[in-house]
Amino acid sequence: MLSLRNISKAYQAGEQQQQVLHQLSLDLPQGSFAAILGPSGCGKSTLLNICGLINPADSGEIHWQGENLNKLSANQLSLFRRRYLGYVFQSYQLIPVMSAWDNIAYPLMLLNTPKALMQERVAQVIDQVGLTGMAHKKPSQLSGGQQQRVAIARALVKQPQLIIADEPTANLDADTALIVTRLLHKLCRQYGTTVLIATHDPRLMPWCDQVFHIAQGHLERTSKQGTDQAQAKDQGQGVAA
Amino acid sequence: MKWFYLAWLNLGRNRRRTLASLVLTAVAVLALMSSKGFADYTLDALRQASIREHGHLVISHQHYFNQQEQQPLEWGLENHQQLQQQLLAKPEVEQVLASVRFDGLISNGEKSTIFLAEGIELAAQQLQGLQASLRQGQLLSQIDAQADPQVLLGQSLAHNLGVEVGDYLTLLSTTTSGALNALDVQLVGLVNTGIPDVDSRLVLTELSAAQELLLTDKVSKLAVYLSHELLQQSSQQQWQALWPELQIGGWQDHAHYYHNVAGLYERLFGVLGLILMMMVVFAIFNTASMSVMERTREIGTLAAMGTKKREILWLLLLEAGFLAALGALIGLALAAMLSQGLHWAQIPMPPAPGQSESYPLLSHWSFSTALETSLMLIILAMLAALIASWNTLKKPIVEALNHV
Repeated sequence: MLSLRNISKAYQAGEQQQQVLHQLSLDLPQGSFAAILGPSGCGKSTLLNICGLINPADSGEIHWQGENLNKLSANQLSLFRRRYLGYVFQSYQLIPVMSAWDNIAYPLMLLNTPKALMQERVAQVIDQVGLTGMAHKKPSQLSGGQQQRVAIARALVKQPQLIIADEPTANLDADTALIVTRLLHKLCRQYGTTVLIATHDPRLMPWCDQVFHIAQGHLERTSKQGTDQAQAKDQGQGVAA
Repeated sequence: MKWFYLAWLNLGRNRRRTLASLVLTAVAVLALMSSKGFADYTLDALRQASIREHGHLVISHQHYFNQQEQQPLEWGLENHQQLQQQLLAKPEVEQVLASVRFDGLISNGEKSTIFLAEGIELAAQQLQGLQASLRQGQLLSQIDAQADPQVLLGQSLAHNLGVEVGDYLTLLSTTTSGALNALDVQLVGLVNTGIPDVDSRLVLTELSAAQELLLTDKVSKLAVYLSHELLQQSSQQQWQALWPELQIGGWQDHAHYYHNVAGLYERLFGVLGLILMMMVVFAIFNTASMSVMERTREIGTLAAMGTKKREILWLLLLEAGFLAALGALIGLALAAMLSQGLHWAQIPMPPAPGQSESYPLLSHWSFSTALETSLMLIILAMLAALIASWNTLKKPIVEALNHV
C-alpha cells in the first residue's frame, strides 16, 4: 500500500509562495487503479512526482508497504524507483537513439536482468501492447499512440508494484486514448500493479477504482467509479490497436 | 557493457557534430604525433651521432674535463693501452678507442692558421661514421713508417688555406713539455661536420701522428662502446668503483648540442602540444555541453527510471571517451600514413641554425607516444565532459524533466 500523510508542497512564484499541496493524505491499496483529477496547475503532477519519489515534499511522510521512504538517501531512492516504480510520461520521454526494444529493455538492463529473461519479458510485453514487428523501430519512426504504448511497455516490463502515469492520454486522439487506457488497465490487473494517473481526461474515469480531486491544495476522494462496468465492457475486446 | 552500448548509440545522435569533433580530434592527434615524431627522430639521430662520437662511456683523467691544462695532455691518460686491454676483456665491451685532442697552427708554407685537431684510431672512422662526412679524397689509412702522416681537413679550412687533396701541410703545436714541434702531413681528404665554425678549424689525423707531434704516449680520453646501451649505467658504476682515480662519464655529459636541441624541442613542442590539447578539450567540451543541454529531459527521464546520477555521469564520460578514442585512432592512422609518406618522399629540411647540412624531414611513429597521446586525450575529454555535464546532473529530476 502507498500512503501519504500530511504532505505539503509550496513553490516560489516570484516573491510570493504558492502553496500547491496542503496537509494532504492519501491511501492507495495494492492493485488499485486510481486517478487524480483537477484543473491545470492544481498540483496533480506535483502530487504524482512526490508519489514517484522524484520531487520531495516540503513536509509530511510517504510510506510504501509500511516503510517510511522519507528516510531514504538519494541513492536509495534511485534504487527504489529502479526496482518498484514504473513511469509513463505525458510526452512519452523515449530515448530517441534507442529502438523500441532497447527503450523497453532499459529498466531490465538497470536491474541487470539475465539476457534470456530480458528477451523473454520484452518480447512478451511487446506482444501485449501490440507492437509486434515494430520492436526494431526508433521512436521517431512510430506514431504518437505507438510511442505511448512503448512507454507503457517500458513501465510494465519489470512488473513494478507502482506505476505513475502523468496525463498518459493527453496527446492522443480518442481512439488511441481508449486503447492505451484499456491496455494500461488490463496489464495492471494482470500484474497486480497499483496505478496512479494524473489526468483531466474524463474518458479515463470509468476505468478507475478510486478518483481523487485536488482543489486548493486539498484532496477529496470523489467516488469509486464504475470500474466493474468498464471491465465488463472490455470483456472480449482485447487490447489491439 | 550496457553503458558502453548506450554511449556508442549516443555518438550517433547528432552525426554532424560528432563528425566535426572526430575530425578536429584526429587532426590534433595527427599534429601531435607528427611533431613529436619529428622531434623523436631528430633527437634519436642526434643521440646516435653523440654515442658514435663519444662512445657510451668516456674515460679520462679525473681532471681532464674540469681543470685547465697548463701543458698539452697534462691531464691525459697514461698507459692507455693497458687500460684498453682490460676493458676489451670485459664481455659487455665491444670497442675502446683512444683519442688525443690538441691545437696549434697549420701552414701550407705561405699561410698559417689555427687548427683544432683530434688524433684518432683508424677504426674510429668506421665506428664513429658521420661525425664528419667525407666530401673529397679518402679516409685515413694505414701507412708505411717512412711515409708522411695523413690528415683530413674541414672543407672550410682547406678552402682558407687553398689546398687540395694530395697537398702537403705542416702542423705546429706545443709538446707536452712545452716545446714547439712540427710535423709534415699529407692531406688525403676533405670532410664536413655540418657546423661551419668547426669545419674552419678541423684537422683529423691518426692517433700515433698526434702523439708524435706532442711527443707523448698519453691520450686525452678513451671512448668505450658497449654491446647494449642499457648496460651503460651499471658499467659506469662498476668501473668507477674499480678505477676511482679516473673519471668515467656517459655520452650525455659531453653531448651539449643534443641537450640544447632536446631542451628547445621540449619547450617548442610542449607549447604546441598544449595548444592542440586545449583545442581538442574545448571542442569536446562544446560537443558535450550541447549534447547534455539538449538531453536534459532525457537525463531527467533516466534518473526518474532509477538510473543513479553517477551512472548517468559515467554514460556521458564514456561518450566523450569514445569520441576522443575514435578521433585518436583516426589521427594515429593518419600519422602512420604521413610517417610512411615522408620516409618515401625524403623531403630535405633546411639546415638547422649553426649548421650547413640539410637533413631529411622524417617523423617516427612510436607506439609509446601513440598510447601516451591517446590516453591523455581520452582523460582530458572525459574531464571536459565532466565539467560540461556537472550543472545538468545537479538539477533536480523534476526540473530536468520540465526543461525546455
